[in-house]
Amino acid sequence: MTHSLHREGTIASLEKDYAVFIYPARGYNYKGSAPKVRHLVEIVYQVGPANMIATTLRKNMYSGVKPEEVLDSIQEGCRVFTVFNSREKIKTLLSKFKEADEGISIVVSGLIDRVREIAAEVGLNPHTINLSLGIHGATKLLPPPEIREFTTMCGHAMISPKLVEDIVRKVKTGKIDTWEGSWVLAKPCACGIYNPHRSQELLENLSPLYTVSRW
Amino acid sequence: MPAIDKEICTGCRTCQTYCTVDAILFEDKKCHIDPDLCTECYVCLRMKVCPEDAIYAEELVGFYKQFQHVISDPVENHGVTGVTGRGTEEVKTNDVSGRVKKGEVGFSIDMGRPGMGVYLRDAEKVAMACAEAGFKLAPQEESPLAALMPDYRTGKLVNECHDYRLLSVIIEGRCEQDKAKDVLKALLKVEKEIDTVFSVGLISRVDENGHCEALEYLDELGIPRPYRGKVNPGLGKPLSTD
Repeated sequence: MTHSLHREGTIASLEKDYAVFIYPARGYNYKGSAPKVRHLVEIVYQVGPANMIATTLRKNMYSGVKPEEVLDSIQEGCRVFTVFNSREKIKTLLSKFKEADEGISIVVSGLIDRVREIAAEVGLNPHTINLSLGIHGATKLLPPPEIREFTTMCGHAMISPKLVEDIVRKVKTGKIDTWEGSWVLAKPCACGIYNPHRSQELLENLSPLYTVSRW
Repeated sequence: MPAIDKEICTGCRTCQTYCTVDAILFEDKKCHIDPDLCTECYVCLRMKVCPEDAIYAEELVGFYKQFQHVISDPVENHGVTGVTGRGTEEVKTNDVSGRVKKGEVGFSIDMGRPGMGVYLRDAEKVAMACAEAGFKLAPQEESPLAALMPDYRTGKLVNECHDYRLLSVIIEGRCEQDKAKDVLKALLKVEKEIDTVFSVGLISRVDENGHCEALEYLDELGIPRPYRGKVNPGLGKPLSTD
């Protein structure tokens, strides 16, 4: 999930994209964490995530899984990865997490100033930050930035650049709409932080202008 | 490892669309997987992408092949750290674990990301350059890559693993704050010596005023100020105050 740190896109687009992790720590608060994590997931559902996965089930919200199945699957040490598409929701979520006081580590990944602003508004003083210093090395070999805006939304790079191009092609030719395309793109993401709402907006913006070749 | 049954393959090339690292080749009207390019991420198997069900799993023979799969497939759980994904808790539990303390800077160097993959020989170059600059690499209890290092403090990997390609792997560790500039300089130098990319995360404790000292020398090194980050708001217990 380290790669949630390096999601790419315009500031306006990233304003609608915040990944959140619920993480019991091995050797510290792992034992007895199941009911606490379950409570935090109930809060996540109340606030309304754009996507989510529990590591004990590994089915994201677009796999047809029901909230009860996710909650029932939670066992000791279960980690939860989720994504929200508005600042307001993150503020509500953090406020409810603070009130719940379950003692499980929480991390919010997003525009750093925005997240720190929200934390301050709910009375939380950040303990640690992890800042993205960007991509280095043979960057000329990378797919184009407009494709990376989609692929970097999966924390483990499970969405291939070719799949994005294929979906753009299908949207352009009217075979699927942008929401259906976003569902297809969300499916390989085994970490549950692909944001299909943001993806839909990206497809709407990209499809009319983008030319893709067929092998 | 995944393989394609040529008798069943119809050459529709759907699998190529899903392959994360372009390891599926199309020759003589059939698809096949290049074992040197495949990172064993298993997305083709897990997603059942073949409409004819021609993709099947062969046994992963040997430690390095299994290591390659466990690190590349985010569904797998790493045996020593007990963590899925790339097998590291990184900064996510720092409010409790206190891995990166006040006066220290941590780095998580995400080799092969985004989406290019990494041969372990390139991961070794970066790990050794960091170690030489004063970076204390994390031991294998915290970071799976250290399992391939006879002495994790050097960053040197066992030679046998060099030609294995992973979807990505994290080089992780920390150093005293005054060494962080040297580590960043080493990264800016070694980036020219590898055939892939890496993404860098700089991890720092935040003081009571929200200040992060580590940011101050980025300008000096010509590294743009970050606008994305992860914030650990300190809700974990027992809270590490070191």
